[in-house]
Amino acid sequence: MASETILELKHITKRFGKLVANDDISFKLKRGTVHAIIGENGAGKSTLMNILTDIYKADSGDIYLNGEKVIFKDPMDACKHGIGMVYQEFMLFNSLTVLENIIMGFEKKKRGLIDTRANRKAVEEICNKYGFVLPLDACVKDLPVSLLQQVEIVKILYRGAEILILDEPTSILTPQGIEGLFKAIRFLVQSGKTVIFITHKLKEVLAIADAITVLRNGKLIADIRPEDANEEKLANLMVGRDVLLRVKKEEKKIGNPVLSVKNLSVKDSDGNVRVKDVNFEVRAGEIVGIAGVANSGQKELIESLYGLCIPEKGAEIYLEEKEITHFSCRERRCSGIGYVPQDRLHDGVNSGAELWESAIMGYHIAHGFKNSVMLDYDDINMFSKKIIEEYAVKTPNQHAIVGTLSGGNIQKLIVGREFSQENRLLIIEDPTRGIDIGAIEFIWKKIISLAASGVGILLVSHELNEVMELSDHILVMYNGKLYDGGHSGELTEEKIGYLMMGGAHDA
Amino acid sequence: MFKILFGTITFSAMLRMSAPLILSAVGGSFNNRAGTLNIAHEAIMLIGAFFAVYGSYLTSNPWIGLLVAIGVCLIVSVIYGVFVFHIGSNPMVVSIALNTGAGGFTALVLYSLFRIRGSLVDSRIKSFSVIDIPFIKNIPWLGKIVSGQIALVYIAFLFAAIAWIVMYRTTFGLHIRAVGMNPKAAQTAGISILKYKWIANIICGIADGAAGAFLPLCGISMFTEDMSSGRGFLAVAAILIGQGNPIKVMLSCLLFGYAEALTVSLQNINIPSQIVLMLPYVATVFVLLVSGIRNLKTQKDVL
Repeated sequence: MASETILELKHITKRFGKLVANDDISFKLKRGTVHAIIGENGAGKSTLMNILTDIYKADSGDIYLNGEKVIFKDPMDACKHGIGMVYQEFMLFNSLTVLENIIMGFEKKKRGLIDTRANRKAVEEICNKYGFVLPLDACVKDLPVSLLQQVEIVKILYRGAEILILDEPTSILTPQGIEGLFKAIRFLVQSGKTVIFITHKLKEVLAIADAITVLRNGKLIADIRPEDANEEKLANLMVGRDVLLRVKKEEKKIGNPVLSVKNLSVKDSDGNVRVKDVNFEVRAGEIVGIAGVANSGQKELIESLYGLCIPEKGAEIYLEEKEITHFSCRERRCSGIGYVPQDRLHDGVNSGAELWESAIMGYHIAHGFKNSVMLDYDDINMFSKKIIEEYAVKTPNQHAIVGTLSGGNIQKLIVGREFSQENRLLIIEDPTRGIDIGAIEFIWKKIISLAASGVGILLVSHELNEVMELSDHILVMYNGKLYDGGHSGELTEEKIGYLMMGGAHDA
Repeated sequence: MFKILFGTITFSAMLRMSAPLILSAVGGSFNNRAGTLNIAHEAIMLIGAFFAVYGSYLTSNPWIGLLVAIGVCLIVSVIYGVFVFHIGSNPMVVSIALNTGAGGFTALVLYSLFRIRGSLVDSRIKSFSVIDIPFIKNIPWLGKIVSGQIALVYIAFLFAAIAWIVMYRTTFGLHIRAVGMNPKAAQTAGISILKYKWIANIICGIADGAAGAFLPLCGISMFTEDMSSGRGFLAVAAILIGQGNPIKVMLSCLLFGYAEALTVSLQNINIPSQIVLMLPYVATVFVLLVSGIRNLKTQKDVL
C-alpha cells in the first residue's frame, strides 16, 4: 500500500501581472478520498487545477506526488503521472463514436492501423471494473449530457488517471443525474482512486466530500471536514461575510393576470412539436418558475412568448387584456415585456461593443431625442451610470468593452437594463448560470423586490434550487408539456425532480 | 446521342479530366478535415503547371517536370502555412491573394524566361506516355476506358483509396479529424494541433503539385496562361460536397470530370458551345442542391 497522502501541494503561488491568482496555497490530498475545493468565481480554483495539470506553471511552490517532488513538462506529462481532469465544458468530438472519443490520443495499433478490437476490449474492461455502462458505438452527439460526463470519466480512467479532477460536474445534471454521479464517484473512491471535486454548490459538497478546502481571492481560507461544516458556514467562508442562502419572501399582493397563455403549441425549425398545448398564467406580483431538464421545450416556449417564433394555429397569448399572439418582438417590448436571455454573451449583450450600447439595447428608441433619429448621449450616459451604480457592475466606466467583464457582471448589466424599464412582465431565463454566490444572492434579491413591486415574472431555470427558492408557483416542463409543481414548498425537491424526468405519467 | 453520353470516348475522357481534380481535392481533404481553410488550389495548381512544363522543357522528362512542380508547390504551401498558422493571417485573404497573384506570377516568369506571352510550346517539353494495361485492355468497353491512360490517372485513384484508409483506419487520420473537429479537445488528448495542420498542409501542397503537373503533361505538352481555368475551384467544391471524405470527394470529382468530358463530346453536335461549356458548373450547382436537400432530410431524421 502506498503512502496515505497521494498528492501534496506546497506553497503554490501564481501571479498574472498584478493579480495574485494563487497566494501560497498548500494542501494534502489523501488517497481514496473525495476532496472538495470550493470558492467563488475568481477565487483561484481553476488556476490551481491548471497548475496541477500543468496548463500553467506556478511562479513558486512544489508539487509532491506519492512523496516525490514532480515537475511536469507539459499537460500530457501530468496525465502520464496519473492526474486527469474532466472539464466543465466537455472535451469531446461530436461526430465521433464514444469509443473513438475515449481512445483518442492513446490508441492501440496493429500494423499501422487502429486495432479497434483491442481498443474496445480495453475500454470495456474499464467500464466493467468501475461500473459504467456506455454505448461504445453510438455517436457522441446523440447522447444525453449525463452519459457524456461518464464518457469523460471513462476517458481519463483509460488514460490511467489515479487522481480525477472534476470541474463543476453537477452544473448540467438533474437531481437524479447528480445522484448517479455521486454513486459513480463513491465507487471510484472505493476502488482506490482519488477525486478532487470543484464546485460552488454547498449542498453537494456536504453530501460527497471527505475533506473541504475553501479558497477566497487566491488564498486558502480553510481546510475543514464536512462533519464540522454546514451550508451557512461554508458560504460565509467562501464570500467572507454572511450570505442569505434563502431569500426572504415578503408578504405581497398578487394581482390580475399579466400573461395568459392558452393552447400554445410550438414547432421547432425542423417541424417537430416542442411545446404541446400549454396553458398557464402569470399574475402581477407573482413569480412563476418553470423547472425542467434542458431541451424539454423551454427554448421554444420562451421564443414564442417573445415573438421570436410563430406558434401553431389556435394559440392565444394575452398581455393583461390585450391579445399579443401576432405581435412582433419589437411590439411586445413596447407593450412592456422584458427579457433576460439564457445565453447572455450572445443574446443579451453585444460583447464587442461598449457597455453603454448594451445598456440601452432594446430600449434605444426611448433614449433618443424626441422626433429625431439621433441618440441622446446625456440621457444614455446617465442611464448607464445608474445601472452600473445600482446593480454594482464592476467596470472602469460605461465605455468599457462588454466582453472584458466577468460573466456575473455582464448578467448584472442585463438584469439592470431589463429591471430598470417599466415592464409589466419579465421573462427571465437562467439568471444565475455560472455566476458566483455573491452575485446570485444579489440578483435573487432584485427579482424578489421587483415582483413585490407588482411585476409579473416568468422564471425559467435549469437550476431546480433556484426555481424552488424564488417561485410562488412552480411548473415543471417535460417533453413539451407543463405539469403543475404546486405552490412554493408544496412538493419536495425529489418529487419535482421526478416530474422533471417524466414521472407525471405514472403518478 | 447515346454514344456520346455513354461511349468509351466520353468515359475515358471522364477519367482523364477528373484525375487532376481528384489529386487536388483529395489532397485538400486533409486540410479540410484538419480545419484549415484553403481555397488557393487554383493558384497552386497553376504554378505547378508552369513549373512542370519548365522541368520537362529543361530535361525532356515529364517525371522530372512532376518533381519540379511538386517542389515548387510545396514551397507555396509552406508560405501559405507560415502566413496562416504562424503570422495569423486570414486564410481567406491569403487564398484570394494567391489566386489573383498566381496568374500574373506565371505570366511574368513565362515572359522573363522565354520572352513569350500566352502559350509555351516547344518540342523539348515531353508529356507522360500512356500505359496499356495487359488483360484489362482486352475487356470490351471497359478496356478502352480504363487502359491507355497516363500513370498519373491511376495514381490519382490510388491516392484517393489510400487517403480514405489513412483518414478512417489510422491514428494519424483520427488525429487529423480530431484537430479539425475540436482543437481544444484534441489538445487535451495530447495531440499537437500545429503538427497535424502542417502535415495536412504539406500533403495538400504535394497533391496540388501533381494536379498542376497533370494539366500540361497529360498529352498536350504546352503551358498556357491561366490553364488551371477554374479546376482549383471545382476541387474546392468537390471537397465541400464530399465533406472531406476522400471517396465521396473522388465521386464528386468524377461527376465534374464527366460533365467536362461531355463538353468536349457535345461540341461536335449542333448545340451552342456556350451552353455546353456551362455543363461542369451546372453540375456543381446541381450536386450542391441535391446534397443540400439530402442533408436537410438527414438532419430531420436525427431529431
